[in-house]
Parts: sequence; C-alpha cells; structure tokens
Amino acid sequence: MSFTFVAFAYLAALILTALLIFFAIWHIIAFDELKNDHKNPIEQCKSLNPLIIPEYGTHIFINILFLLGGEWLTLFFNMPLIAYHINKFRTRSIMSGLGIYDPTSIMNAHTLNSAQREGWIKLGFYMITFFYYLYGMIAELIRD
Amino acid sequence: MDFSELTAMTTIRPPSGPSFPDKMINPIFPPSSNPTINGLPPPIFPPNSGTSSAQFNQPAFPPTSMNQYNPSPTPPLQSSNTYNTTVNPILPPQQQYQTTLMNQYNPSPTPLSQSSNTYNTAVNPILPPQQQYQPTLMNQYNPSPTPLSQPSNTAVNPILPSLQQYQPTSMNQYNPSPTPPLQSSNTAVNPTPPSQQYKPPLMNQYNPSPTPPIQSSNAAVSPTPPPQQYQPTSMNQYNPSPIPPIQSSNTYNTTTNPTPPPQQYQSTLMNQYNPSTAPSIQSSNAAVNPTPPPQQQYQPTLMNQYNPSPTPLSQSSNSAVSPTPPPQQYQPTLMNQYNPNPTLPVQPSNTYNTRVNPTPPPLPSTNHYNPPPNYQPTTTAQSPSPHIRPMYPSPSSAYRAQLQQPQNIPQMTNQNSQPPPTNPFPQYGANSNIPQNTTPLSTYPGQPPMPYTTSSNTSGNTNQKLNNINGSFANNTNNIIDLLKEKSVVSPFAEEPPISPLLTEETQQMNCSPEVMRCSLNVIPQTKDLLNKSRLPLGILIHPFKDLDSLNVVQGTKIVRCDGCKSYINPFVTFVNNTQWRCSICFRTNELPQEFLFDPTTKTYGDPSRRAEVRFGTVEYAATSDYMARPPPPAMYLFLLDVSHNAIQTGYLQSFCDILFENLSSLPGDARTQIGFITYDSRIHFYDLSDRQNGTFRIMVAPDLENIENKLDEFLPVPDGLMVTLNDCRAIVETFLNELPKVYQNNSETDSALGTALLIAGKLLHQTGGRVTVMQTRIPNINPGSLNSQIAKEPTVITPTSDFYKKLSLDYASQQIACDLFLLNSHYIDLTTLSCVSKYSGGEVKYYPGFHSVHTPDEVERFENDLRRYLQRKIGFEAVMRLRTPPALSIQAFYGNGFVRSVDLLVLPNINPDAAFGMQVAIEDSLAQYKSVTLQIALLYTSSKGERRIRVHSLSLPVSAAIKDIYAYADQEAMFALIAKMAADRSTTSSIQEAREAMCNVACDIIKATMSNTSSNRTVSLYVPYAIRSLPLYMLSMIKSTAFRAASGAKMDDRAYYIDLCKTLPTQYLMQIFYPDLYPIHTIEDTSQIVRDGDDELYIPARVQLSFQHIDSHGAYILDASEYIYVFIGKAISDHFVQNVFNLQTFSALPFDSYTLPAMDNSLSIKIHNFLTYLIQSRSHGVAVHIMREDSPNRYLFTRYLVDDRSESTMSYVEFLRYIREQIGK
Repeated sequence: MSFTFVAFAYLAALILTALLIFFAIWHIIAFDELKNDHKNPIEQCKSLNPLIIPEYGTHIFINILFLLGGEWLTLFFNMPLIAYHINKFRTRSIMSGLGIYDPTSIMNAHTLNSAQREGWIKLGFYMITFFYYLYGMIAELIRD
Repeated sequence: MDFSELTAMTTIRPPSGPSFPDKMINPIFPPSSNPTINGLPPPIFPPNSGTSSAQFNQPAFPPTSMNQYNPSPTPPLQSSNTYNTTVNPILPPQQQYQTTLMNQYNPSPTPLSQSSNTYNTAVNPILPPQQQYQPTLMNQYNPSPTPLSQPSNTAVNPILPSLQQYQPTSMNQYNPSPTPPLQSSNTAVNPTPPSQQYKPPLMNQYNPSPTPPIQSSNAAVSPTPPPQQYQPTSMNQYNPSPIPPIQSSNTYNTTTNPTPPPQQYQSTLMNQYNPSTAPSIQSSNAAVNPTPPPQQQYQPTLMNQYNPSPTPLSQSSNSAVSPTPPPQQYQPTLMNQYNPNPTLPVQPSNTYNTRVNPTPPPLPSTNHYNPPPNYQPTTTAQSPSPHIRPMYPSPSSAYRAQLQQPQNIPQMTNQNSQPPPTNPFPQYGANSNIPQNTTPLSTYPGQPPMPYTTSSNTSGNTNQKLNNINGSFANNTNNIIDLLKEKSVVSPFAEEPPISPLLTEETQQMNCSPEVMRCSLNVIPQTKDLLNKSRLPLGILIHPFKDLDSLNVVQGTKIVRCDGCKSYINPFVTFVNNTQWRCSICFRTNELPQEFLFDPTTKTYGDPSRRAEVRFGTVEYAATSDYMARPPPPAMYLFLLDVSHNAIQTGYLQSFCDILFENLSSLPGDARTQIGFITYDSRIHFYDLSDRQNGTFRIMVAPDLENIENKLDEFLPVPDGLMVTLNDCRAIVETFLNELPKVYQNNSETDSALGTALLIAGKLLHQTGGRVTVMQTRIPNINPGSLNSQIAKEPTVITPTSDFYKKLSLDYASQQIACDLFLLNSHYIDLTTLSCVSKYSGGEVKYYPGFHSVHTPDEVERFENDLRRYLQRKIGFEAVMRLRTPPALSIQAFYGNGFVRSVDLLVLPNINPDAAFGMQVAIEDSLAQYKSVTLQIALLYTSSKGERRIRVHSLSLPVSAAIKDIYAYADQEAMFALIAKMAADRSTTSSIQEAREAMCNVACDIIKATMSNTSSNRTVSLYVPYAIRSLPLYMLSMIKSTAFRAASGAKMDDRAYYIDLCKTLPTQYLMQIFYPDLYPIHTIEDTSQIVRDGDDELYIPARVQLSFQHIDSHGAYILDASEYIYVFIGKAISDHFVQNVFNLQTFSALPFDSYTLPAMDNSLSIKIHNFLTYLIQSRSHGVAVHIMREDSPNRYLFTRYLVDDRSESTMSYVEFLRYIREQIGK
C-alpha cells in the first residue's frame, strides 16, 4: 500500500469534484431564480459567465491527471462531458467575454429549460463520479 | 468596459454656473457660461479675440489628443472654416459682417449649394409637393438670388491661416456672431413667426399660411399643390393639438363602424401620385372650405350604406341618420383619448380624391352603393372567399370601406342566413336566454355556423360543455379543399381577419381587434397532445401600440386587478355578485371595489357590467404613481447623423434636415421635450444649441479618442446645451437645421466612428432615457465598434460578428434608451451586427439600400415618408409589456425588438406604433377545465406627455378537444407570420438551410396531420381544411424569399434585414413581404371591385397569384410588396394604354425605369392613380414606386416575386404540392 500518483489523482479529483458539484448546484439555483423572475438576466449572466471557464478547466484538469496516471477507464467515462464542454464553448454566441450565456437569448424558454436540465444532469454526473473517485482512490490505496 | 458603472460617476447637469463639480475644473470643453472658473475666456470667439484663441489652446485638450486632432495642417472641416471666417478677427465691422453672413447663406456657386439645387430639381419630377415646398424654403432662405458669394469667398480664403491658430483647441466653433445677425436669418427662414406657423390648432396647421393666395393658387389649376397640403395630416394625430383627428366611436364594430380611421399621410402621398388631374374640383373645394378639419375626410355614413349586414344595427342606423357619431353611448364614461369634438359635423369626404382637397364637397346622403351591372367579381365565383372586403383595410390610417359582399357567395362559405341575434349586445358572462341548441349566435359570414354560443359562465342552466363539440362540424365537410385540384388558393380580395368564435360581430369589441392581437389558432387545443397532433404552431401576434381609431381611457379610478395573477379586469371575467368577481385567467375570486359599481354614464350605482373595462377588449388606464419607478422624464430625442464624405455624397442630410424642420412641431412631447444632435465622421461633433450663444449654435469637434470607454465621463464637452428644450431653443434648432447641410458640404473625412457616438449618446441620455436616432451610411470602421467590411464567404448563419452593439443595446435598455437605425448604405454595412443596437433596446431598423438623392428617387421618397412618419408618430417611453396567460399555458419565446427581462416580460425602452411582436405559446397542462382561454397583454408606458399609461388588450378564445375545430379556426396568416418568426430565429441560431428545411417540414407535417383526419385519403388528392389552404403556398414563398432563399446571390444586408423584419413587422405587411399582391391594372375597368364614395370610385382589381401564368405581355401589373410597389408594363401593351396612362405614343417610348406616373385626365389614368394612391395610403410606412418595362434591366426585381413558378433551383407551387404529396405517402 503506497500513495501513488494515481491515488493522488483520485484524491485531487475527489476534492475538485466536490467543487464542481457546488458549481452545478449554483447553476441550478441561478436558473431557477431566472425562471421565477427573481433576477435580471443581465446580472445573472454576469455572475454565471465567469464560472464557466473555472468549471470546464477544473474538469479538464482532473482528466489530465487521470491521463497522466494512465486511468483509461476513468478518462473514458469523462470524455463525453469534455467533448460536450468543448463543443458548447466553441459554438457559443459571439461575445467578448469568456462566458457562454447570453442575456438576450437566455430567457427563451427552450434555452432556459435546457440549461436547467443540463444543470441537473451535470449534478448527477458529478455525484456519481464523486463516489466513483472515492472508490477509485480507496481501491488504489488498498491495492497491493 | 462597464458602461453602466461610469454613468454613476458623473453629473451631466451640474446645478448651475459657479458650483461645478470637481471634475469640471478642467473640462475639455469649458462651459461658456462659466468663463472664469478655470481662468479661461469663454469659448466663444468674439470677433476680435485673436489672443483668446491662443490662450484657449492650453487647457482645452491634453497634448495627446491635440496631436490626434490636428495631425495635418489642413483644416479638417472646410465648410466650418467658412463659417469660422465670419468670426475671424479680420472681419470687417458689424454691418459688413451681416452681409457676408447673408451671402454665405445664399445659393452661392459653392459646390453644395449647387448640388442641393440639382438635388431639388432631380427630385422634382417625383415629388411635386417637395418641389413646391423646397423652393419656398430656399427662397426664404436666400434673400438675394444673385450669387454674391464670389467676392465673399475670396475674402474668406486669406483668412484661413488664422483659423489654424485655434485649431489646436480641438474645437471648431461655429459661432458666426454673438450679435443679432442670426436673428435676422432666423426670421428669414421663417417668414411666418413660428408661433403662428407651428403651434396653431389643427386647422391653422393645415393651412398655416397667413397668406390666403395659396388657396387661390390652388384653385388656379396649379399642377402642384401648395406646400400647406404637403403637411401630412397625420401630424394632427400625433399632435398635442386640442382638436383631435379622430371622431372616435366604437372601434371594433368594424362592419358597422360609423367612423372610419383617420387618414394618414394622405396629402403627402397623394400629391405625389396625383398632382391634380381634375383641377376644377380642386378649385371648387378650395372655395367651399378653405380650412377644413382633416379628420373629417371620410364619410362614415356612407359606409353604412355599404353594410351588407342583414341586421340593422342600432349604431349604424344612428350614424346614418345623424352626421355626428353616437358618442353618447359611453363617452361620458370613457374619456376618449382623442376627445372627439362633437361640434364638428361629420362631413362626407371624397376618399379617393387624390387631389388632396381637404374639403370634399358635401356628399348627398342619398348616395347608395349601387353595384354597377358590370360588377362581376371575376374569380370569386370559383374561389371561395369569405367576407370580401377591399385590400388593406388593416392599418388604421387606411380608408376602411366596407364592401358589399358579392351576392354569389360560393356555397362553400356557408353563408349564414340566421336571423340576427335578438340581443344586440350579449354580454359575455351574462345570462343569455337563448337556447343552446337552436341557431348559433355567432353568425360570422364566411365561416361555418358556430357551435359556440355566448353562453353564460354563471347561469347554472347553461352548462354546455364547449369542449365536447365533436361532430358539430359533421355537416361542414365542404370546408375541405383539394389543393391539387384547386390551384387558386389566394382569394382575389383580402379576407377579414378572423374573430374569436366565442363572439358575434356585435360583441367583437370584447376582444381586442385582431390587428392588435391575434392567435394562430382561434380555437385552443385542449391538451398538448392535441396540439402536437395537429402540428400547427401556437402563438400570438401582437401589435400592441397600434394607432387605434378610438381608445377607451379609464381615468381616475382604482385599477381593478386580480390579486392572484395580477391581470386586469376584462370583459371575460365573471361577476359573482356585486362585490366579487372571478378572474377569467386564474379563476381567483376577487373583491370588487365599490367605486367600480358606479357607472359614470348614468351616474348610478349598480351594475358593474356597464364599465368600459368589462365591455371592451382594449382599454387604456391612466396609471397612478404606483406604476412609476421615477417621475416621468421628458421626451428626449437625440439624433446621430453620419456626416462622413460618403454620407454627404448620398445627399440624405438635406432631406433629413428639411423634414425634421417641417416636423419640429409634430414631434410628440410636451413643453419639456428636449432635442439634441451629434454628428460624426472620424470625430464627434457636438452642437451647443442653448440660447446662451445669443441665438446661434456652436460646433465643438472632438477627435475620436482612443479608449473613449474609459473616459466617457470627462468627454462631454458641455454639461448642458447638447440636449436643449425644444420650446425654448426652437429658433436655434431651426437655424441649426438650415445650416447643417452646408457645414459639411465639403467634408472629406471618410471614416465613421459610430461606436463612439453611440457611447456618448448613451452618456447623454442615461439619466432620462429617450430615443436615439442614427443615420448611418457606411460601415463603422473606427474603434470602438468598428466592423470588418469584408465578408469572407457567404455565411450560412446570420449571426453578428461582434457583440459590441449587443452590449451597448443592453446598456441602453437598462437606461431606457432606444436606438433606431436608418441605414442608407450603398455598400456592405454588416446590418446583422449593427441592428443589434436596435434589437434589444426596442428600436427599429430602416434600410434603404443604395440610397442616393439623385440616382434612386424611389428610395428617397420612401426614406422621406418613413422619416415623416417616424417623427410624427406616437411614442411611449419606459415601456414594459407583459403577457398573462392561464397557468396551463406558458410562453416559449418572444420575437420582436425588445429585451426579454423575464419569462413573460418584455422591456421596451421605447414603444412605437409600428412595432409588432410575436410570442410562441406552449400548452403545459390540460385545459380540460377551461371553456375558454383569456390572453391578456398589458403595455405599461410613459406617454410623450409624461403620463404613465397602461394599455390592456384582452383576447378570449374557446377551447376544444376536437381537432376539426382546431383546423377550422386556424388563422393561416397568423400561423405564417409565426412560422416566419421561428424561421428567422432558426436562421440566426443554427443556419438558413435548416430554417428552409424546417419550413418545408412544417408544410408537410401540417398537411399530413390534416390528411390523417380526413376520411378521403386518396393518393391523388391533397385535402386540407379550407382555413389553412394557403399555407403550402406561403411556405414556398418564404423559402424563395430574399430572407431565406438558397441562392447565394442575395446581399447579406438584404437577407439580414428581411430576417429582422420577420420578427418586427405587423402581420399584414409581413404577408406582403413574402407573398406580395399582384394586380392586373390593364383590366382595371373591367374586373374590379368598385368602392364608391361620393362621386369618386375606387377600382380595386382582383389580385392574382404570383405566376407568369397570370402575366400577359399585353398587360400592366402592380406588384405590392409593402415597402416597394412595382409597376410592370408588358411589352405588348396596347398603345391606347400607354397613351392614356403615360402620355407617350408607344411602348418603345417608355423609359426602361421610371418612378412616377404622369397624371392624365382620362378615366383609365385616374383609376390607376386612385388605386395606386389607395395602396400607398393604406400603410403607415413609406413606399418606393418603381415603374419598369418588361425589357428593363431591373425586371428581376419584379420577376423574383413570381414565386409560384419554378426557378433554376426551386420548385414551382405545383411541384411543391406534389413533393408534399410524396412526403406524405412515405
């Protein structure tokens, strides 16, 4: 039993995924506020857009650790989300900032619903991966 | 850069003189009223202050900007130099100075004056009134016709070097003199004092001239009407004049309406197309009544005589007898906004008298509509057309004649011969005693008998389940049409917009007018599944601020709203008793305030159903202070004018200044109204129009600073004076408008710093909000906001290339500023990106491709008429619009120019009467417990008079579980408009290709869904319900339109413009954009509907489908595409036609393209003129008329609209139907 790089990767992933879960919850709350007319979409987008790059970056960083650690299966699980993130950022509407949410189109019911659904799905995904990383870390630690 | 943070930092208007805030210690442009605060002399350059300008150099600008500003030794503004010469110290004493000043105003041989002259003459053939008007202006303006300026020019030139002395101050001060000479020039400009010319009551305005000879000249067979007639009548409508233009009465009794809508633009447009073909009539008119009230132009009583209704409605009979409209009905209660003047007798009018005689001869009351024996509606016999009416009655400005329905109604329309309802005003929700199973109450001609009755919600014995009306259409199988057999699906005359089947024609007023709000489905499906099964789009189209003939304004009482859903009380609520009412939207039971029981008409308490709020679908409330976030600001109008070289070349500036000058009085507003101007090329030019300059204005030029976004708060040259109160500084504004075109006549700057100008405009207006009007002629190329003028390749997505304008627009929206764009470009301007600034701030975009004052007279005409309308029309500030629906419905998307602030709330910094919106609606839950669904639009706005108003439109529609009902009451035009909006959205989010495919799929899906519901499912037929028969045709036309077509040849700007129009245009105009109306006019005498009004007859030809099959080279055609009207002359046209209409011998003598029809004194020419004039008047916006020969190089402009035919890459209509048939068969 030794604290390998892989174990470190899982440990880091565990902590960072907890952060991602908070991001996801934040998204869900934010869109719920929008839907219930509590917040101005301009302000809400201003508060949401700065979180996009940290979230995507954190997720990609975790996977880089897995890549370095050679955890191919874990990486494989995460690939779809990475691809989704990259595609979403690539096809965002033109804006000078780094965000993806556009206050002029976000109130569109379709956009709003899909964003909210995305928040829930991501939340579920992060929860599952959280426990998976926990398992992976322990498994790595108790191997040998 | 966050603009909104900056705005909090500075004070635009410091209290006054000596107490400037700190930042004003060293302002860039020290205010002239405070000359000593920073040790500077006033920035006015007195005639003998050579030293002061040197002094002034130092603190004015930081050195960097100084360098930027004056990089070249040549003065940047030549024309302003000439003005500066007048203030030059070398100038001769005062007397001589005055003469120089005058000389400069003269039509000297300087290039611009010349060009403006040529401009006039070039425009003249098309705009006879303009011709008349212009010279008067010019003559007043040029006291001496002899060009004296040659010497003055030579005098000017040597003075130029001295100008360099104060150039580094980065201010070109136009300050001809602090002394009265400008006074004199003012009076020269206005021979009549402004107080007389511009602020008279309406009658004077119509004949503002204090000199009566104009009337006599009018009578004296002058081919051009006097300038007074040039004043558009619609001015009155938007005017704060005490006399209203409208004799208002009940709006929604359209068929029985005794008062037609006001005529807008009447004189303007009519003059252009019919400059007096019958001078004798004109003279007699002038003799009869020299100052007629224009609002009386249309004879309401006459319309009643056209009324084919078998039910003698009390209102119509009233108005037929007495010339005054019956305002007694509710007038005391509901203050009509337009406050009809009951003393004015309703005079019959000569509607189609395009000679623009404001006083038509009195009409004999015995004038009945006698269908002439030769009147045969040509195509109606084979094509079923419900309830025929003349084209375009929709705009309120249009003449709304009621045509008698042809007697040979096709059997398909199932004309209802039921006796009229006994209750002339069956109150929805009141206890009606009519048995349910007898004759339907709703007898809407042209529709199948309506199973819905206006049954009561409260009475227990009328528990009819409106939902269960299956089979009620079993006997109406004949309202299904086989598209493959019946090729002609476009009715020859326009159809009446559908009304809610809940209501009869008499109770239509309980719903708002379909032109204000209409739903794509007039029967709402009960469930989401049913809606999906029908494949029809559900949504509503709103034209919320439309000019209305009459409006019920409720003032002074408590505004009754539902406590639950906050909706306003409306005609569809139920009164439980006299203290409670039940909301029709959320079914909550609310308390009824006691004052609501008071009926102001009878001054009695009791029945709440007499109130206007529960009688009319459209009501306007005067809002209390609860509805204000801040005290209503004044109307603020800021104009941003492009004065770059390119802009000057187009010559728009002269037109703009002239028209604004004419319309200064018509700008909506009160005594507080403020106006301001900023011009820009590569720099920003400010104008101090305040009166501290002794009656002149001052030009201040700021170079285009880099990083202006960071310095905005120190950028404004003077704290006030840029926006001035129009009433106080009127003379200066007028002087300014006269001078402006000359100032920049030689401007050689080619760049455009639009972004900077917009930022500054936002800065100027951020405290009050207001309207920014931008005239732009080229793509902006100076940062911030510069755009790339190269299009890499034909893009597949219409998406902006920069988000600068979008962010600006959002900033504007949060500051209650709207931006309207007038684009007069001849090259690529990136309309997609630029229009963002209007899109989210509630503005509008007008587009005049290739505008040039000489080369494109039709565009000039359109621009000028649009601008007139733009300046005169009503305006609402700080508006929000909310749609309230039952909780089972939800709004999916908004379409239109505004910022979607919340799921049901649209923020509109400005609302104008020409803006329309669309909303896509989804059914979330089952509507099983609903008999009917009420939709309510509330528009809260600040009027230009500073009043807070709420305009509420309510619409109630029945719910049905039967898919047949859904189809039978579908509104194909509304569906088409809704699909166009969705397609426009799709083309900006995914791609145009996808949008096209979606349209194609819509047509297939709908027909497939309808086919599965019809029993006759044979493979060789394509049966669709009659109500959606034209949908495939419309889809095809949309696929082939400029906006969505596949051909790559379409200019990007055109495409983007038309895609924008999809979202912002009212339905009727949208229909014309995509499927224009084509009228053969060579047969106008044979196959027309005839509307007779007095001695005049209007011949409305039957429209034909857009196919070459209907185009005969022996014929002549009018194609009406809303903003453009093309007159197409076939090459084998008879010489007789050419001689009569064009005053030329043969077809070959015709010019290839021309823009005006000569006025000939023969019946054919008069008929065509009248018809054309009628078309032009029927819309509020301007129209460009283009007359072309069949062999004209521009004939593609006409032929591209023939969408029924196949082209290289697109299907013909028949092919499209077969394609659909194949798709369905799969």
